[in-house]
Amino acid sequence: MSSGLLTFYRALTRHKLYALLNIGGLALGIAVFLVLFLFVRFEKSYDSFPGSEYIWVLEEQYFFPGAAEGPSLWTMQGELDQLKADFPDLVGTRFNGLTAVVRDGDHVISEDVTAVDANFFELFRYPAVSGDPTATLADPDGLVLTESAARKYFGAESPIGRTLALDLDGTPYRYKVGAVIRDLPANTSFTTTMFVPFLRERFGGQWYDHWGSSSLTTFLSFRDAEAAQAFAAQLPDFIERHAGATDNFTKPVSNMFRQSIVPLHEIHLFDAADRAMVTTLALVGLLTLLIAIVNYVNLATARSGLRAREVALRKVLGASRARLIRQFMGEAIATVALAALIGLALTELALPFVNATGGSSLAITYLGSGGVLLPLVALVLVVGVVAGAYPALALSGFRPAAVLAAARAPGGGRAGIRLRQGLVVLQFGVAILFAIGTTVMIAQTAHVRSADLGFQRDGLFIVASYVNASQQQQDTLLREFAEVPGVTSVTRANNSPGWQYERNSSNFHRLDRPDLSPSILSVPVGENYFATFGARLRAGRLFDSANRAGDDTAEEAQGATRNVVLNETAVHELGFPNAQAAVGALITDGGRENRVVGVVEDMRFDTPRERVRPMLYMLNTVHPWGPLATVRYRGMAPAQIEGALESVWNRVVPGVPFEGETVESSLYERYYKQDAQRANIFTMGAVLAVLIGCIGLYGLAAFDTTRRIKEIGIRKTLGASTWDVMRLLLGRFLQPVLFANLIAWPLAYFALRGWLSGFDDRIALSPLYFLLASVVATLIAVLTIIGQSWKVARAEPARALRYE
Amino acid sequence: MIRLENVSRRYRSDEVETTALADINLRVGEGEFVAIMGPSGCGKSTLLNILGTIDRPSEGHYWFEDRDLAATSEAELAKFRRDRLGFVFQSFNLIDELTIVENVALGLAYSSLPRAEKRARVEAAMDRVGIGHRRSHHPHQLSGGQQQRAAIARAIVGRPSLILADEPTGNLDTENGAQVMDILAELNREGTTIVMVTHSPAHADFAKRTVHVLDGKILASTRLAA
Repeated sequence: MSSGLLTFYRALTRHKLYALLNIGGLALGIAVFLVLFLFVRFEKSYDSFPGSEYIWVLEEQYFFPGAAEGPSLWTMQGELDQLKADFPDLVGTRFNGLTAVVRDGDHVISEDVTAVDANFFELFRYPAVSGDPTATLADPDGLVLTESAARKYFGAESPIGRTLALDLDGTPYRYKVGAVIRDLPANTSFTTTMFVPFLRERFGGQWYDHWGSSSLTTFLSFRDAEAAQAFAAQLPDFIERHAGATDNFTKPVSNMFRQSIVPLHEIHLFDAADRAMVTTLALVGLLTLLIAIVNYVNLATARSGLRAREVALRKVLGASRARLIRQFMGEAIATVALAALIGLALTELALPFVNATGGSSLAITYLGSGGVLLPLVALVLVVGVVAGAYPALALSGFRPAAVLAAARAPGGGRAGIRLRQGLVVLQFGVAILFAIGTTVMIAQTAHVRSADLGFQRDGLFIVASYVNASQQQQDTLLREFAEVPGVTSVTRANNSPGWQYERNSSNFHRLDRPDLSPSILSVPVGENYFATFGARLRAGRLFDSANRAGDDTAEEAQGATRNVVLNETAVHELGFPNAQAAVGALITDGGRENRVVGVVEDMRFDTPRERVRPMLYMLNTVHPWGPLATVRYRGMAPAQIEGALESVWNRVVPGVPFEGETVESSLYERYYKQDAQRANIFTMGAVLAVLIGCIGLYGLAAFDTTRRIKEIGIRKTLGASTWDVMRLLLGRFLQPVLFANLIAWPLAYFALRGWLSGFDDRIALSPLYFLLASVVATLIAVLTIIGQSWKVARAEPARALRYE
Repeated sequence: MIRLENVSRRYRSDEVETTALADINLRVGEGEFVAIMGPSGCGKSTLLNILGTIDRPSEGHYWFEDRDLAATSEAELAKFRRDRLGFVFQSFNLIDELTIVENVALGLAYSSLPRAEKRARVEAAMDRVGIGHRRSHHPHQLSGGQQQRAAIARAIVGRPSLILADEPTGNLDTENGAQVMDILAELNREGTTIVMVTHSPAHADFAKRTVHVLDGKILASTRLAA
């Protein structure tokens, strides 16, 4: 073993604590970086497959009061036909999700079935396992399965040529399997397990050609971005020609409705808040790595003094500065390589836990495209050089005579102390930034799960499969659900928390204020709707049996005024000064008149990210278009009510699978889960960043207290008490930590203000979060150093004075 | 002023026990200048550390003006050192990161005197030992003699009644050593009690009494004729 290697080995084993802190801290930093790198890469890899670079998605946005904010990927079913008529060379395909049930012998199973155009697989080149997917879709009854769906229904036998009975949107069909493709990867935005051909006569509804409706996704193919942009430039004229030819929009249409195209691979992070979160996680990863590097430099410079005599002696024996730089640089790279190996092992160990917590499916690939080995080697070299440069230059620059003559090893003097304190400020600044971010994110995710949504969210169960029952069965189900012990109320409607069928919006105006015409979503509801959800009446009355003739859409005379209930947002957007003022007012969308009989508090059934839309509730008890039944229950566990409702269901609607979930689960799965999972990942990153920061602080404190033992002995000899020394040491180490707060607070404020602005239902950015995070970070810092400080402060002065 | 009764000090490391002091009895009167002499490792510095309360006896009693310091709490001892003692070391023990004026002021850092009073005392102490002109320098920028004078300024800034000096001239040349001894002798003439460990018979002559220590025991105590 060369003397350099031997010295390196001995430096590691002799100063075990420093080696542990140095290598452990860096390994942890690399592991956090790798996990977050994999996560961010996974998020950014969505919808990337051979040929995906030629696919764009048609998006649209409405601009008028009450319209949903931001663009939507849902478009009119028949728009592609009209596009092809105007642009004969245009290539496009459609993706229309269906409500589907597979009948497999006695089993009835819900499946994700999608109707797509016959050319779908020419654009989405998913690898085929058997058969020809494109040829299969040319057959009106052709069916393409994923591998797992094929296995599920046909086991090990070949499914090609076999048939499956599918109920699609309530109509039975028999489809013949013509091809099997590989399962779609996890990083796919448009997931499904079965593909059938999109046929207008089967799946094109009454809104097929109705501009302003939207029910499927339209994909377009272009040879390059330039061609895509050239096409996008012609879209406004196309819209004016076609949508403008209808009475659905005022002219010019572009004031109310616009379309554009967006590359397929950008769809997953379509939402600005999602993009911001992924960018933030990337930053967390990079900054954690930066903290770990800072730690390494900090500890290495602090330790440089300990090896000054070795350097001096080597110089005396003829070692050149260049050789010493090489030696220390080599040591740094070797240390980083060791840390990288441990970091890699930690990553492998942590991934199952991260996947479970973050809802991801991350895995390390070492070689090939996307392999981490080469980037990791590059990382080792870069970090090794960056981390080793200062200590290498500082150590090799010591003058041997001065070092050998000095009673004490040099520690870099005041400049060295300032540098190390600056580095502690930097790493704790980042750690406190993360701590504040984590506190606010946890508070926000907890807030959306407990906030008052305008209705009573607990004790509600949604029967989602209600839509699959016949009208008669639906009536029976409601009656029988109401008789289940523990059930206190039952209703049906076309919405429920997390669910909204047919978003039919119209521009309503007051008869006395035609200038204000916000877009208001009409919600047909059944009996007991408000009672079931526990809505709060703000003014007027709810629908009731005493006023059935006016309230019930089904019983009203032709053309008579209809009674409706508004939510508070609708009241506000219609220009009423308050809820009471709206009661009795007449509003219209150009058709029949509606009399406002009541106003309820806004009920947030949708995502907390968007504002509650203005809503108009209308009652229809005889022909309700209510594809969802919602049940309020009391004194039962969710599993119990589910079991009781399912047993009713199986009796009334045999052969159709029961599907349902609690409102809590519905809201969580659709709106909260992703944010909660990302908050979990962020929290893990932040906790580790703080931990790595503490490792740095601990190392620095360990070094500094050791170096100052004699000074402490002098101070105690001069009358300093243990408490005086504790104050001195804690003050010295906490000063940079407190200063770090000053840097972290404004940065955290601006970052979190931006993040929270992505939520309509959000917490206030209270200074308490900042204080709490800073106090916790400072307490952790105190706990980190208090042990060493106490030990040194308690030391007998005589012993301390003898310390060299 | 000082009375040590049957004081012993033993150090234990692993399984080896070393006796640094064995059954020492010693009295030092107020205003005395006592020199402690003996070969290296005989226990002189341990004796001085015990007198300075920066080390505790394993057995015996240490009476300082009728107060048994061997049984006093750590916090009380810190206060005692702050109010009553001054230390001068062979290796000066100045703090490298602090300037000379800051080092001297350290002698009052833990006292409750008003700030202005502290400032005045620091200036007076530096002037007295003649290092006021090096106030803004750091210790490594001063000669050994200047550093030791700074250390003496730090020791006297609290106006102690007892100064403990551990080979104060050990690291100095003859001229600087003589200057330091002159300062100590002058302080003694003004009433400060001084206990000094030294190897130098010449410097021991500045004391009124010399205590000889050998193998942790007091061999003899000789008083110089007035």
